Amino acid sequence: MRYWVKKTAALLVTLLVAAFLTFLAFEVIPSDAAMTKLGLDATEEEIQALREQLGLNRPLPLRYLSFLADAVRGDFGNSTQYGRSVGELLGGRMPVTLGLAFYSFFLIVAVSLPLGILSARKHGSHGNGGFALLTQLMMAVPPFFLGMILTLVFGIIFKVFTPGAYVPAGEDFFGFLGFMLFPALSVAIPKIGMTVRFLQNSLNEQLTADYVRTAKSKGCNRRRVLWGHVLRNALVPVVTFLSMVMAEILAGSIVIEQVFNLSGVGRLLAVSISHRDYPVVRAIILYATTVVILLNYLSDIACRMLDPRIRQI
Amino acid sequence: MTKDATKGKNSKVLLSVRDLCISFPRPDRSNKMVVDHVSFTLSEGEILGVAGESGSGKSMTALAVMGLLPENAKYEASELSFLGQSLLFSNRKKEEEVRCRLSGSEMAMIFQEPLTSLNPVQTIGTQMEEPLLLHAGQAKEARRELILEALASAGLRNPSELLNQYPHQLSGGMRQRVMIAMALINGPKLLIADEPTTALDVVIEQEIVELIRTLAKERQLSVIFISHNLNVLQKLCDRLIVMKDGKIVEEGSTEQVFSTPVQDYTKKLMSAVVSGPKERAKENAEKETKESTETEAVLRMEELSVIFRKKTSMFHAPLYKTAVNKVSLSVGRGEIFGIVGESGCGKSTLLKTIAGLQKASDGTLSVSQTEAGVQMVFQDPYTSLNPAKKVGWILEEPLRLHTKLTKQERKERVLSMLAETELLPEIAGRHISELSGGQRQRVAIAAALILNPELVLLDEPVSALDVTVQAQILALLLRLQREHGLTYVFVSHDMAVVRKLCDTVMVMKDGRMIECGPAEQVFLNPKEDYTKKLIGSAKESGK
Repeated sequence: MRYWVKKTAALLVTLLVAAFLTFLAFEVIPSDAAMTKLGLDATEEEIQALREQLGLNRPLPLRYLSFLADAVRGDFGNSTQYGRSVGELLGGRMPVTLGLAFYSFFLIVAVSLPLGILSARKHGSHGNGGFALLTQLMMAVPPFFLGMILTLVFGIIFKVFTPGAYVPAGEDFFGFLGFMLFPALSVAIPKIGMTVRFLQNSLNEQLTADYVRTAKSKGCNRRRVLWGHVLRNALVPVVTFLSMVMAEILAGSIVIEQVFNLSGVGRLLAVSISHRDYPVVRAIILYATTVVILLNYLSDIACRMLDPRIRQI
Repeated sequence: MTKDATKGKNSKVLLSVRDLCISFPRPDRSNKMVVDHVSFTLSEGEILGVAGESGSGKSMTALAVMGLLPENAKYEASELSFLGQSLLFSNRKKEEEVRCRLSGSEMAMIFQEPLTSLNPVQTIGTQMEEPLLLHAGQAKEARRELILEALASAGLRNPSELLNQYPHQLSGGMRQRVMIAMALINGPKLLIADEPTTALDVVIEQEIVELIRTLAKERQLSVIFISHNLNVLQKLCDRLIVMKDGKIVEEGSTEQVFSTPVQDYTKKLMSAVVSGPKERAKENAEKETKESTETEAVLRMEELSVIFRKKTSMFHAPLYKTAVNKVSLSVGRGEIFGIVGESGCGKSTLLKTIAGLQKASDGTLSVSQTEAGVQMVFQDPYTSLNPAKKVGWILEEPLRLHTKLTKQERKERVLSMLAETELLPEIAGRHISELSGGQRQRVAIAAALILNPELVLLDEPVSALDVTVQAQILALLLRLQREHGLTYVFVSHDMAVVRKLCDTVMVMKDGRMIECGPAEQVFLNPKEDYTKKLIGSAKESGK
């Protein structure tokens, strides 16, 4: 119980620090919200008046607190580019990115776990060379190239899907699944290569551990050794790895969203950066850091559940 | 001491091995033979000891009997039968089926490392239950009863508490008891014990050996007991096999092998174990004359304490563990100062503090300062040397850091150091992984001595090595000490080694100094009960 209190306290502190650093970064950037809003023709008095109105003249800690309070309420200010509130803007983009992220994560787990286990069991026999080559290839291919090839082959030549024809999951779930399969594959394939390698190494390392010999001496067959003894031990590092993968894809894939013309968070970030739309950029950065911190928290909990030795620390 | 060796001969043969050969493929496609035409039989209720250095093939033989050889191992035999059933198969599937049926029910095995031999993520209860689930179909309640009974008969207290504990929460001795309980839970006919006490303390070793002996007698259990410790084998076994380079070089009843060893190798193995106190006395006399002239203290400490803060929650008052508790000692130049005690008694912490690797919490510590300072040799030569570097680089490093010698001078110094530690010059170009355990420890000693330190700290420098290699390394340490007038602080749990080597002995328990005095005096007239117990258990497993 004490552990949970401590862990959650640490989580909150980390989130606060991350939020402060994000806030600070945008304070340091030489730009004045009032000046940007009023344009170059504004008089000094007008600028001062707006600064006062926006609360930009208050001391830094006060401004941080109000930033924090606004952020908790989901108020990130207005986009300078679109004129709409950032919350609304992100709300519109989020389903695309979340859909893509969970879809690709599902593919990663659904493909890598069986493949990793299968390849570890075959370890030592012939035919692993080809498999190693395959995973190597999967890791080496750049996602944007993969996305373009998939669009060309399945979208243009075989016409399995119409490039750019995104349907929200709420409207037509299967249409969504069908269209998103290819972007999700482009995100997933390199990660699958890495996860399979990772799991395979972890399993092979565990398969040579002394407790495996003990399990065999008790009369466990290969299947039972693998599923009953080795897998749980081997999963501990894989869980940490997968949480990193998940954080990466949740933060939005700029390249894949661009290639498949998806209006997700990644694309919004790219556009906002080039237009110096700081409120939007700040909100997305805050979102991405929160995702990473939360996933770390969750993966720590998962590892703790898998490995009793971690519980002691 | 040995039991009636003839007992086994009349009863039924349980295991029969004839012409067992095991080989491993080498990178150059030739085969490396590790077990070469080994034949032996084991009768019901017999305890067979297998002795030999590491690499003699004794473990491989046991693994072959148990069907646990590594997958790249090739083996063949003209006979390998257990309970009248042949264990040689041409069909892999059939082999797995029979092995899975026999292992854990009719034959069971315990291993050297109780630390890693249990699954770290399963509770003791789950792991104990598995053999029952695999081989017998008791109801849940009956299984629980059997597990508790097995744990209790292995000498574990509070077995019901153990069920929900994980291996890392138990001590080494307890883990080995759990292994034994788990191996015997289905009442097997054969127990193979592969160096089951090597990783344990003398006192615990004694208890485990006693436990195996009692259980074997109670249950008419046949045991193959593998060890490089001849003392243990002498105490436990009816019959003995001595192996060398994959071959059986001597075989007979324990009494016979010990009283009239035929082979030179066996004699050598035995002489490496039995150290003569006489030889010790002679050396002592020699030293006394030397000591009277040199009495300057190289190391002195007064009321030294080391206290660790245990990691606890931020909401609770911190807990402290006193690893070293007010220890005072003084070591004169040219002295060999031994520190003995069971693991966890604080001897390694004390050594680290002297070396400056650990801060003292209280008390004073003064080490006579020379340029070379204090050097240390660690227990495990396999992990304490950088595997990515060549021996020459490792030996040169201290010279590069502490001296202004030119490259040529450094190289000469390295070569002369190699010669002093009886290593060939070409070793300098090898990686650590290419060396044997003894060679590695020689390199570690060379690295420690290359700066000509006055004080050398030795942390169990021979306990990871075979007996014969142990004797060689000890002889080397003694010679170097005499030639260079070195001062050693020698930490060990092996009483025989300490007695052989040290001038002064300090006994430690729970961080405190229990007894301290000249080695012969401590060994012949121990004042404290604890010292007597330590010496007693060493003697029982020894001479």
